[in-house]
Amino acid sequence: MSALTASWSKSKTTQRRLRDALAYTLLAVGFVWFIFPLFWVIMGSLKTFEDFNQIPLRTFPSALYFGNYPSAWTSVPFGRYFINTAIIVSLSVVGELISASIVGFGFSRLKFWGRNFLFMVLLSTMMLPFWVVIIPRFLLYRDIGWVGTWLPLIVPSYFANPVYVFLMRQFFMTLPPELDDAAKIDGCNELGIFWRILLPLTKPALATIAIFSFINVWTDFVKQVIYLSQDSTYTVAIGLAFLRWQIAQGDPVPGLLMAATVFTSLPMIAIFFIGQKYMVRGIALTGRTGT
Amino acid sequence: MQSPRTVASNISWARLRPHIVGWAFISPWLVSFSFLMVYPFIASFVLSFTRYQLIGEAEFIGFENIQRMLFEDERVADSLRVTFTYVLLTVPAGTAISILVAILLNQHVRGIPFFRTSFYMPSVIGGVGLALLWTTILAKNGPVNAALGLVGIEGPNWLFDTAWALPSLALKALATAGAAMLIILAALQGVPQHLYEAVDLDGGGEWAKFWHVTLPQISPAIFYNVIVTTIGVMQSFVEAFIMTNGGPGTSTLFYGLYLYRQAFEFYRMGYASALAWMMFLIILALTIVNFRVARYWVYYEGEE
Repeated sequence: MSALTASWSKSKTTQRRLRDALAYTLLAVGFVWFIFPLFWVIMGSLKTFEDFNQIPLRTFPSALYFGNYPSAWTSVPFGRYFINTAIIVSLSVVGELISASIVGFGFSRLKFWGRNFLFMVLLSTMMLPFWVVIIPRFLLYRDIGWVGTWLPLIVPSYFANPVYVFLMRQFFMTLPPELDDAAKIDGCNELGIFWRILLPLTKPALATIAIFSFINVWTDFVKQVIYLSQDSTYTVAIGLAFLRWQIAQGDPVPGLLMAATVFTSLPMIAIFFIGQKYMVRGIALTGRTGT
Repeated sequence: MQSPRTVASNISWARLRPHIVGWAFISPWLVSFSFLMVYPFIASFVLSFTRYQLIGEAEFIGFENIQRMLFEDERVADSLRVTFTYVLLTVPAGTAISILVAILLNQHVRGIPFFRTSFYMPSVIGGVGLALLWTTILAKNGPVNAALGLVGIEGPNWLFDTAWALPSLALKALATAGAAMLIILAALQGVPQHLYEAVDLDGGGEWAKFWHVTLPQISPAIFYNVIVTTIGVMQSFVEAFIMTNGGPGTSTLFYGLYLYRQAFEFYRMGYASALAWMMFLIILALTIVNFRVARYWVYYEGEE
């Protein structure tokens, strides 16, 4: 009897070990698939021009060469582009946070005529293709003199992005309704309930929105390229595109392009490491990635 | 003592108040919904029947744009072919990869948070940065061809080869399956444990668990992903704009890129609006088909 149990449990451990080995093999394949491109670019940014023409191709640079970074930084005015992007991004994030929390509160904690219908409408607008609305929006902004400025990139953030409203609503719904009732008895009106009672509890959701909107605005190349037309207003993404086209026309300096890719991706990677927890939570809460 | 009239108005105010407050709270969205959604949606429909080059007045030309788009402009058919091919290359494979990777990340082995972080990271970089990153990976003397060289295959010049440029962009898209993966992973972690115990009691193995519990339970998340990625991929732009500029030839001329060129390089706002509306109708049709097909494979709790 005991021998039987022992052999059974032994085969169970073998099975378990096999499974683990398989899992680690596949995880390693996945790791190479997802991370190798990043690794390659970091290594490439430290290579000299000669390194790229070596046969066979080497992954590691012959010596650590940092010269690509200053050349890339000055080949297009990245300093100014970083400041511009930082201004656009921070003003947009503030707008998304304010408007999504106000509207999300309305859709989750208040009862009013048309609420459910309007919420369905809000959800369906998330499926509307961007290209269908872009031309009249462009003409609208042109007519009020906003094309060429940052305003078309920033101002809409203050009028509630449906994706973030949805996230805030889902989060508000997890908070117990007794909070509102208690505050009402204490003489709070809706604004008080929102501002003093519930908003302080939504910090994790606000963090999620801040991170998603930071990443989305930073990488939103299409709008930037459509609305901006002067060098003094350009963004990091546009700078990168310039670099790409310069190189496509002239001598290819792959190291320079790679260095630029690295330092323009750093803010994303930094924010990702700081806020990963909130991103994963936001995805679990809404079942979408916030993009 | 109050007059009956003030009592009445007090009552109606008390009745109205919550509705007014509610509408006040959602008013920021009502503004953007009206001016940035409804108005442009209708305006682009109207613009479709005009010629408008940004200067002067829009000129009504009836069905000229639509006729040109459907029957005369070969680029439209080219770009639709490219875009549909791209959808077919990326959506099924991307869905499969994200499911596999999510299941992998749901295993109880050490180091999962590390792998999850690494798998998701490329999706975060996004946009132009990621496009450039893959431009260097797929260069003629890049690492992909070096790896192929090791097994004796001479790799093509990926992004400059008519046959390989579109598959190259698809390859890049599959490296960002990390975002969809996290959605499926969240769904996997929400599968009630007792369902697996029920399979155990019935003597079912791992395969039965996957087929009869896991897959039906995560099917709504998979479905949602298919919908969202199809809509997203149909609108692709940046990859082609940065990596290939639509070329070589028209081999990577995405519909979105063609629309962008018509609107913001040639300033044919009327024609571009017609193109945009056709994109809307195609995406709507695809979404409806997706919902129809979903009846056969998506499982919703409480349905028989």
